[in-house]
Amino acid sequence: MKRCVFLLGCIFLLTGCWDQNLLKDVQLIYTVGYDVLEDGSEQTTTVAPPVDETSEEVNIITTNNHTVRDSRYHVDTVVAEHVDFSKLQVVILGKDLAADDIYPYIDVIFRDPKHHLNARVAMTDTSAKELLNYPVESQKNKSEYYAGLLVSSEIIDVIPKMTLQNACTILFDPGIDLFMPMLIYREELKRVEAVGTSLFSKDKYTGVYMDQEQTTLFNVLRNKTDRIVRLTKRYTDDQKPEVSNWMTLEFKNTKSNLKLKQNPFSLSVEIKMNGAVAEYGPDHLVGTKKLESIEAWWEKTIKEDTEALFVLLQENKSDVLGLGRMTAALMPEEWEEKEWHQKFSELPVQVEVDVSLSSTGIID
Amino acid sequence: MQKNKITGWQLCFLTLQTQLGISALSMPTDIAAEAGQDAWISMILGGLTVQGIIIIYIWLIMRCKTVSYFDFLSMVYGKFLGKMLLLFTILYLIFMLLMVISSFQQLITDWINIFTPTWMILLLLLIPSLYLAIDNITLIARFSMLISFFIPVLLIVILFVYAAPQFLYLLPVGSEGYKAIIKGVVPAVAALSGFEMILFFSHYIKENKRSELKKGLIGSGIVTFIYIYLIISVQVFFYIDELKIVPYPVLYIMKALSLMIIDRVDILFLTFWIIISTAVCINYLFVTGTGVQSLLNLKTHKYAVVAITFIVFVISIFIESKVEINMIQNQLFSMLLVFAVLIPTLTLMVSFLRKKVGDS
Repeated sequence: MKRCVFLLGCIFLLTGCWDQNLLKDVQLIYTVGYDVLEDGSEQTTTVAPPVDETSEEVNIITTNNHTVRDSRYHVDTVVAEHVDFSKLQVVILGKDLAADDIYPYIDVIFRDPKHHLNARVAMTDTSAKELLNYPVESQKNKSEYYAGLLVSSEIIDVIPKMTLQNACTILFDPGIDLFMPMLIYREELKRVEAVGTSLFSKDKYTGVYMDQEQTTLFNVLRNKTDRIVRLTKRYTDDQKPEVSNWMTLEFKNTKSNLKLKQNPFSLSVEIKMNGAVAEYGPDHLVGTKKLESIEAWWEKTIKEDTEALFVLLQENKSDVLGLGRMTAALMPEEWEEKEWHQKFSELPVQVEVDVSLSSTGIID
Repeated sequence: MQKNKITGWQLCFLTLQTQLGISALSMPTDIAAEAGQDAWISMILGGLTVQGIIIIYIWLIMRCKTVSYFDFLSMVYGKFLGKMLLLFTILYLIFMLLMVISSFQQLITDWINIFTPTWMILLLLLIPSLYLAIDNITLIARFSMLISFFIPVLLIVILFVYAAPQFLYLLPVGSEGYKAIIKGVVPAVAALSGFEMILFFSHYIKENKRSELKKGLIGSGIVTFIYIYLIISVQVFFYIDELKIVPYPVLYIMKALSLMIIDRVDILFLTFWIIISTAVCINYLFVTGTGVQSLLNLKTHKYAVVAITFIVFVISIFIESKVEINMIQNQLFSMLLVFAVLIPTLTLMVSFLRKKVGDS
């Protein structure tokens, strides 16, 4: 009798079998690219890792259908396994899709309970299909290459971190515009490069992107810097060899303070940067007055760059810093959802920069 | 240890688990749908309202003395009317049970076990619940206390939101207007449902009734604070329009998290949460069982609990679509208003008028 009850109890342990999801039965998609074609249909390109550790072969499949979900089901009909997006690492959007309204395309990602929301989003200047099909000379297989590329570029602050979840929040919020890393294929290197940050106005790509240096400043401005903030500038013109003309700074602490002001409605930006000279050939800098003049020079340069950055954002009506969000929260009387982009493009900006250099690395 | 007896702290945890288990994961969406970005203010008001209701309960229970609320009904209203009211109260409790288990089943189906048949999920919830619910109250209360260490887990996991909070989403305070905030109190009180457990459990407190009952207030107070914390955490994470379309925002936050070792915290967390859902189910099964016991003058509540489990199981198999479950959930507030607020208040007033006190 006891044994019977025990065995009956064991039956309940088998209920897990209904939802078993065996690794051998699924094809895990690590990288996916979405495009929109001229006739308005959707094209999905999936990259799955090699089945075998030793092989290099990744599985790249492109399908073309009416909707994202449609294309996905289509992928399922051409692979031996079941396509599974639960370990997705990177979503790459083609240029044409980015120039369109992008939410409908990524809606499926948010709706699926199995989906990984921490996957990164990036875009490219061609179609995603093209980018994913270029030969890449990397030690890593192609399916993991893009994720590694994005993560390592985030660390040195040349691109912003943008995950699916962040993108979703931004798409819903009228007070901030979307931005994401821009990936461009370099023929001569046979590799993909993260060249900077693409700028969106609302949810449409403006056709303009910030380069790496501007992105670093952008990260400083929104106080979202990662491990290394590095800037290199041509400090003098007359030194020989040419390399001595350039100076690299690495900043340990950066802090920026964006304040909205009323009467007239304007923005004041304060940037405080604290760092060290990482590379400058010609001189010993410690103990001399030179450090002060270098600080002053950098303050001026960064100020000009920041102002130029704001001009770029305002010209393209791309409020990627979320000033609209700040206005709506702190000065609701100035906030008008429909007119915000116009107002943003006319917003006067004052910039103040304070650079202090404390050390020169391990040699003087 | 004497059987069929609980302490004030045990009462506190019984109500706390019931309240949390019903709606902790989904409530921010319901409140935000009404009160927008001032949802947390509605929650504070809702919490205060519930504290007021609990004070009425304590007053009522002090008049019940050692008699249970169910028996007190027939003492106050007379045999026929009292039994009718008791019957309706039992139907209300069965309704709550249905709501709890079908919401639970929907959550599990949507989130983890897509292919497992619903009846199996229901069975796996009901069988362990039944096993505990046929036992005595002391055991159930101890179970509620035992599992309370899951609550810090919830609070700590949500703490990750504050790695990059967007506090601007809370500003400007009061921008939705007082009308929206007052409207939000309705779903806020509904989210706190489960506080009526104090009414049904407190006659098991045998010593120092007055001071021990006050711990029931603490239970509901803790839940209110946890909910305010959850709502604020959810609001600094989601933009308000986004929050309105996410049915389980608390789980969604965990889904967006990626820790070094665990990729999908939400699924791991749900396996803990199932235990809290079970506790809710146990509490309602037990209370409904004792209600039926009092209605039919049975010796024990055991067979009543078995019968109710069976009835609930059969009905809940037929509740399949999301629309039906939402329909049931939308009735929650009006049911709560009638059975957890109006009838106890009325009972208290009638007992004053007819000078009825338990034990007399």
